[in-house]
Amino acid sequence: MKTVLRVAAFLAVLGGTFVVGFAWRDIVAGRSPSPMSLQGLVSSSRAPLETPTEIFKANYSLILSNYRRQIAPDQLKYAAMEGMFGALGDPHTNFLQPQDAAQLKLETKGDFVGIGARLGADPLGARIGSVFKNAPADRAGLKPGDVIIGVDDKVTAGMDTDDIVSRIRGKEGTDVRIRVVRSGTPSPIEVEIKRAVVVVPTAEGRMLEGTRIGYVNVSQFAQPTPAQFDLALKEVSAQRPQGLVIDLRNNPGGLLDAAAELVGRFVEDKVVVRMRMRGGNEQFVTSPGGRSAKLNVPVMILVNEASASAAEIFAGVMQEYKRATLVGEHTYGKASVQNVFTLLDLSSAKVTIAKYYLPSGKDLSRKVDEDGEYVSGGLKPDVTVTPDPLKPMVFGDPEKDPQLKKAIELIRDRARPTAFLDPAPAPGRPVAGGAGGGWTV
Amino acid sequence: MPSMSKTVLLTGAVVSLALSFLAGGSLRAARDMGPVGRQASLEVSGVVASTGQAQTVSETRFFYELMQLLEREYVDPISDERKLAVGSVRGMIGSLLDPHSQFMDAEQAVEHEKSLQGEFGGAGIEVRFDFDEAELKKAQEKGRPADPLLLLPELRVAMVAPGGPGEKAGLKVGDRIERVNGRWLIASAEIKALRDLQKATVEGKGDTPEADRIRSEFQAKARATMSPGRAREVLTSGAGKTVELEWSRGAEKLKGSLVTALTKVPTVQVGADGTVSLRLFKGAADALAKATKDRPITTLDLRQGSIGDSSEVKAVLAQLAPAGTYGVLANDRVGEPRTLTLPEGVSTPRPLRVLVDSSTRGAAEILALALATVPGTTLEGKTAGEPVWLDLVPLPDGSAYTLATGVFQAKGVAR
Repeated sequence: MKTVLRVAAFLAVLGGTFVVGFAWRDIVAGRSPSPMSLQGLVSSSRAPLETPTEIFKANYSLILSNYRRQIAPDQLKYAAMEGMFGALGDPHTNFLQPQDAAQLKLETKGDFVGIGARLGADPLGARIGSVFKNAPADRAGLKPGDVIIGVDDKVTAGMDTDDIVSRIRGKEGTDVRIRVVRSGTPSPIEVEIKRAVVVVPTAEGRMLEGTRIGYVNVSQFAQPTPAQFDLALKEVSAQRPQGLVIDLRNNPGGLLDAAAELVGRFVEDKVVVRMRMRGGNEQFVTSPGGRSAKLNVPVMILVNEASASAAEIFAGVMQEYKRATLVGEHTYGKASVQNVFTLLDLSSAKVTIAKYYLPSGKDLSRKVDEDGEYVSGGLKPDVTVTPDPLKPMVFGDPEKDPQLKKAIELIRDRARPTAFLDPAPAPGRPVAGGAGGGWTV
Repeated sequence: MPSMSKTVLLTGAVVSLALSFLAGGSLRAARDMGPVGRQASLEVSGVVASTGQAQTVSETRFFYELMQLLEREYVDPISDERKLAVGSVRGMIGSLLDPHSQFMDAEQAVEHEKSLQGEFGGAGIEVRFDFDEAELKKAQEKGRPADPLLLLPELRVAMVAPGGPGEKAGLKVGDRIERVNGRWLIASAEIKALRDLQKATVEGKGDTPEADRIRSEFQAKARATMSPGRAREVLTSGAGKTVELEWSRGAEKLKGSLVTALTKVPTVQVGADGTVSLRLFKGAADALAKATKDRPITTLDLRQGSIGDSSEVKAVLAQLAPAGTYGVLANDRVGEPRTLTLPEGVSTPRPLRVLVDSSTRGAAEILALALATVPGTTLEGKTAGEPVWLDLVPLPDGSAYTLATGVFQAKGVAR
């Protein structure tokens, strides 16, 4: 009798484990199992059940075999994954196709094999926007403004910039022949360049001409950024500046650690950001100690609507610890941390795993209306300067950059900084304002 | 000896517990993934790469595993998995970049269903998206837009329901909607013009008064914009709301306001002169049969027939034309395309005038082009040039999508 009871008890436990195994997905996902899946546990006929995977599968096949155009299966598969991620309504949780995943990796890593130049589109091929200092292209004598008209034996006129970029990129140590036209030079110039590992300059410093003010432009927060920032600060400090301008405009962010590291150059051992993880537990990221740049001058940080993520954290923390004055326009308003999972086919899943708040508890998250237009969110600058959209703007040139000009005035006029506080909200921005990112080779 | 058997028993118990847990998990995977999933679940689980080598993953497993990844990692718990599946369908339809294949959420699907029955909300009009053809083709080939701004379509009137608010306000087929409730609809042409201007400025040639005028005009518009999709919603759904409109007809600029209302359009209308106006709403074939029972039809008006149910085409055709193959639904997939074939029809077709114009599109246009091949039938007017066959696919949560499966090409009667 006792044995029978024991066996019965064991079988009950066994059944229980089976059900736990069945519901494990829901347990991990932190929700109660849906009635639909429980139905799947007991019923053997599965015709009336439509699980998400079946919905996907049925429509994938239908579209692939009935749509009037021939479509690549992979293209449809990836579009479905992008759509699935999009259904969460979080603009920062994305599925990245292999080529986009590779690009993201390249951007955060901060180095790649190439010639070291940024390209923009041009009818003749591609126009060189900038050349990285000491990179192969620089050593070969290429200059910003040169227009690439040929790569190896291929004429690039009319080609997509993407295609030109993939022709210029290649294996480390191999050669590429590039033909450019330069204004003022009658005949095309041809150079042979050996491809090498290039570190993308993400922080560059200089003294503003005719002033004693240092200017450091941080274009993103990548792995080499803290070291490059230190170098830039060192160059500027050697000139004994009376103030410092840090330009974070159009900085899309990047690595949180890099932002915390940069904060440590000004504020040591302080909370940089509070992260609220899944399930509600909090984590803190603090700035390092013992690495202050010991720069006791006023700091102005330039921001605009394209300053996001790590750039907003850096600017916001500096503002909250009263170590800098923010000048420009309101920032983008990204308040979440993503993790990137590389998948088997080298595509990747960028998933929001936490939300963050500034040390004061301020939530930066962007709010938009039903048309996707900005309503609120991001950092509000201490001094709002909206550039005149009718005047061409040249970033970093005080004559043609009203935001930088204002920052310079503020440093010079430190006696009464609060007099400039401007409570007026920034007006809307044009949808086609920027000229676009560009390509790196 | 007893301790030995105890160990065996204990091990057995632990092993069977573990097995039962795994069995439960694999049953769940099989249930969730369906028939193909059963095979797939035998493979190594998880899609997160451990090496740098690319491996291919079947789409079903990929979907399933990614869904689990999101459920495990995403900051907020995901309560509704079905939302993810429907999102994937939305993504697939969106990637086709096809003006005719459109995803509709549950609310839009209801509106669509109503308009297929002749009930139009909003301004009592149908609208269409007019894309920059070259940009659209480029994007379709690449599978994604290189520059989404260059794929901003113009919103044009495709059909004006007789007696509706749109007709009263003076809207005509082909008019371009430029401003809705004070917000501007910006299209790719304007973006292009601005880009050219910016380029000219960089080259030092852009500082003319004309350039300044275009620039400031654009800046003013850009301060308050509305997406084409949102404008379509305002113009084609709801009732009792005042809508301020600005639109253009060629170079002519027009403006006005209307109050949205439900407009009912009859499927079949017989005019005083015996002209039969037909719209291919649901049940069109039956309604036509009823209306033409006593007197034969001599003139068929297919104008203002922008929206229609492709599945009505055959049944209507069978009342007017003899049996035979009328053409193919051409596509560029491999394999034989579907044909438009009538197994039965009328024995001797009567002479028929068919009235069409640029609002005759889709199902109505297919009907018109098929009829035109029948001897004795004359087509008067020019159709829109988009005889696209649409399938309507419903999804379990009430949303739906249209899928363009072919473009009709008339062949002439084969039999």
